[in-house]
Amino acid sequence: MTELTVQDLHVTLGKNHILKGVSMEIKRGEIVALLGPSGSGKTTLLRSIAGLELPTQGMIRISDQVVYDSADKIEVPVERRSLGFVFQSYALWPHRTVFENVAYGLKLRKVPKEEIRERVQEVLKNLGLGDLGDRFPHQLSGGQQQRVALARSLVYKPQVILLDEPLSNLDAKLREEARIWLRQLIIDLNLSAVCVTHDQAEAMAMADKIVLLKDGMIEQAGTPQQMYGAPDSLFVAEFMGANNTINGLVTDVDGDSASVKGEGWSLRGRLRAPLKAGDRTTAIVRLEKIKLAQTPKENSLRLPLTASLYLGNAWEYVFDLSGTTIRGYGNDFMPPGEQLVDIPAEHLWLF
Amino acid sequence: MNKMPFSKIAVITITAIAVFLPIGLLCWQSFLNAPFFQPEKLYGLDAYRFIFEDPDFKRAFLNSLYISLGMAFISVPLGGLLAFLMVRTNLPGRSWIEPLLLIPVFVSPMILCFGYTVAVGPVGFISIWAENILGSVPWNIYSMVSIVVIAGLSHVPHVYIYSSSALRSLGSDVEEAARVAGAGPLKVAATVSLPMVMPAMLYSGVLVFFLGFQVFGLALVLGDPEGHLVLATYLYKLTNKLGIPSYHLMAAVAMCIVAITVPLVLSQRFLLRNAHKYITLKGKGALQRTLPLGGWRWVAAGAIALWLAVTVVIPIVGIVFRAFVTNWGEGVTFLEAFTLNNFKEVFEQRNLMRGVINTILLGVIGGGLSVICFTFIGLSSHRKNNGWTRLLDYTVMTPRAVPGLLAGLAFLWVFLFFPPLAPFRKTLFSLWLAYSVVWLAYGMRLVSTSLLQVGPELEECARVTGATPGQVSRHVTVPLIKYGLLASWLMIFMIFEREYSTGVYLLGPGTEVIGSLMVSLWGAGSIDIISALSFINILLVSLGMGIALRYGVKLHD
Repeated sequence: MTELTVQDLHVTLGKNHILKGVSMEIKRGEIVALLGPSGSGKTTLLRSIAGLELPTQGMIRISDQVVYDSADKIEVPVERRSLGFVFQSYALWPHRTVFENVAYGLKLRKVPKEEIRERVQEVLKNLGLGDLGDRFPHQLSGGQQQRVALARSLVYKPQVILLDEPLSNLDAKLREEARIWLRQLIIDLNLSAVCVTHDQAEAMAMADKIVLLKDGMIEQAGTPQQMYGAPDSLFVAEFMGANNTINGLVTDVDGDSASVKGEGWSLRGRLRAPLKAGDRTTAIVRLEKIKLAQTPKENSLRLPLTASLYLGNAWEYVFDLSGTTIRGYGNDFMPPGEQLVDIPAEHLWLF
Repeated sequence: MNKMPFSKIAVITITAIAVFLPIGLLCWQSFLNAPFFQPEKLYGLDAYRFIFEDPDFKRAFLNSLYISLGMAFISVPLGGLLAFLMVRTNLPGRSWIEPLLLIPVFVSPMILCFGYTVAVGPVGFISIWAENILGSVPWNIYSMVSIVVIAGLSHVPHVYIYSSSALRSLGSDVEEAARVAGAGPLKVAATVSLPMVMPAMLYSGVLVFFLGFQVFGLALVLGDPEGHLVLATYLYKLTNKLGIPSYHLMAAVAMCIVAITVPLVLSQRFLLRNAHKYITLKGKGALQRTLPLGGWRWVAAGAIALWLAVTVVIPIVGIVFRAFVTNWGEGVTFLEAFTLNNFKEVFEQRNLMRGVINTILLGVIGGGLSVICFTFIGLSSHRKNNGWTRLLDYTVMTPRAVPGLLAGLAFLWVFLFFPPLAPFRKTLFSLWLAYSVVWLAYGMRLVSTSLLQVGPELEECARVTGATPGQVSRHVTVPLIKYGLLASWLMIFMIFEREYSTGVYLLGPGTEVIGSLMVSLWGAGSIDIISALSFINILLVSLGMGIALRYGVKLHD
């Protein structure tokens, strides 16, 4: 069942055309991450769904209710869309206690006092904030504030919850714990969630589906596995992971496999764009796919190792391929000198 | 986000009417040859022809120009220097100098000038003292030069306010970066610091220049004895001059003043855009280190003390002293002349007593009501940008170009002209409305500064949670700016206590306030009562300043 539909959405802010026709669907219980570089329009998309920005064209439907339609001139005001929204800064009202912050949505919905007390207590308890109800926001830690913001947007049981970089104000350690916890919470409550982030690792860890935006358009949408393992474009490949980028010339094409050649080297790779012999290509291979080899294989090169960097959990090797830097990981320190490097053909993507 | 609700449009429309209707009436009247409410009247330029042919008008215009230029040339360099000394150097005693600097802003210029008259006028007590030593009084407080110098010195704080806030928001990091890049301290000042505060200086220069054309009380008190007229006093004296109220002439003079000040106010708006051009970093980025002055700090402190003595201490001490003596002259000692009769008289004369009470009511209750109105106006354009808010922008800005005296006159006519409003003419409501419109720009600045400090996401979050725009204002925005509004109330109280010119034409039984009473008593020459009233007024303003200092209310930004 589709919980949220966005169709051909255009948004203009001032003179800038921010969103240029975005369409997407979110099913009940699904977590979708809106990913993209800054300025790609991901926050604008989220705010348009909430009704905080006014689109110029398109349609937005939440459950069965059309909340925005440029053709039928429908525009449901923000407060009647019944969404949950967690702001990047948490936006806790500093003049209200934690209890009053969380209770506000219920008060507006004219829920009886006794019931408000019960429901707020329950959601605070579920989020591990049980005895903090009387505190003011400035008396809480960053992690607690984030949970209060979440409690406030969950207490009136919205079907869809929108999160704008919910973890970006937490420190790195806390952030990794919080994303596990947040994902579990959303699944337990059977909510649909849209989460804006600029961190692709966070998106992959949290979401069932990733929508990658670029300049106000969807570049690619799919599961984290599709996005990371089978990018449709160079932009997606580069955005989703840490890569080695090698420029070369396509020499021959055989189905979806091709040979690429550069100064003093030749490799086989997989075509990810319609290329033909003689085309210039950018070859991409993820850092973790680069391995040291003991015996020469089809796609191995003998390259000079210029540095070994200690990362704690691994060593990072830096090789030189006729002026291009190739990086890979290994478990042991390697002294500078010639090494046999394996670049698996199925992981070398040609764009 | 959403369309402009009807209530907000209504607030903006009412504000625009309150501002433009009186000015429109002045404008219309200036092109008539008889009072606008008389049935027989003709359109024409008679009024303008008359005043342009009047040599007094020409002299008044030139005097106003001298005062404006003099003020700009005296107060801009001194105000800039003062700001630099206060903000960027280790001048001794900065924390207690600061509130003293602002006294000329909050004490009525009428009072300061009365103070000058009784202290350094021809028979002032300092003049007598000087005469005993030197044989003659080496100054003439009533000359045009004295008027220009006093106007200039008393407007130094206006420049100081703008320059110091620009200097404060300029972090020393940009200066340090220039030092590291190889520039010496003087080079830094000339190539980095000064150019960065230049827009603010220019802005305040334009400000004092048009304030110069609005000078009224100062010229009335100090210019009267030797007959130096300025535009505002020329307008005020027109009635005496012709013996009959000449509405069209008054309107024509008013329009001339407005024609000079409106372009200046508009140009300020343009300058303001540039004034904030460089102010990008705030907060942590603006950590400042003070420049050690060495031995010069005492020279600088001495210069500031001298300025304070001339601009604040002499007039205030003078008027306070005068309030407690029966008369003053050669050979009179303070103990013989000491009396409380001046105050007794104020408390016994019913119109004076009403004036004191009205002044307090207008400041406390009227000020509170004004802040409430300003808040509604502020909320009506809060986080919106469309044709309505632009209209409001210009509406709010316009009263700056209209001196209080003219605004009072215009409102008098509005209350005469519109029968439904006529019953209010003799009540404090008429004064309150005129005061609120005259100080609209100032009040809106106070309120919108508070409003802008509310993070937009705090309001958006309430909307998403299910609150209507009205509920957001009531539950989130207004509670968050509560303290800012209380501070604004205090500031408006002080400004309303100080105001004197707006009430001049609205003065009548029931609408007396200290300020306008002093103007009318000055004509009758009753300096005893004026001194007592001044003292009471100073007490009221000091009370406001005391509360502000006690609770850490910022007296300027």
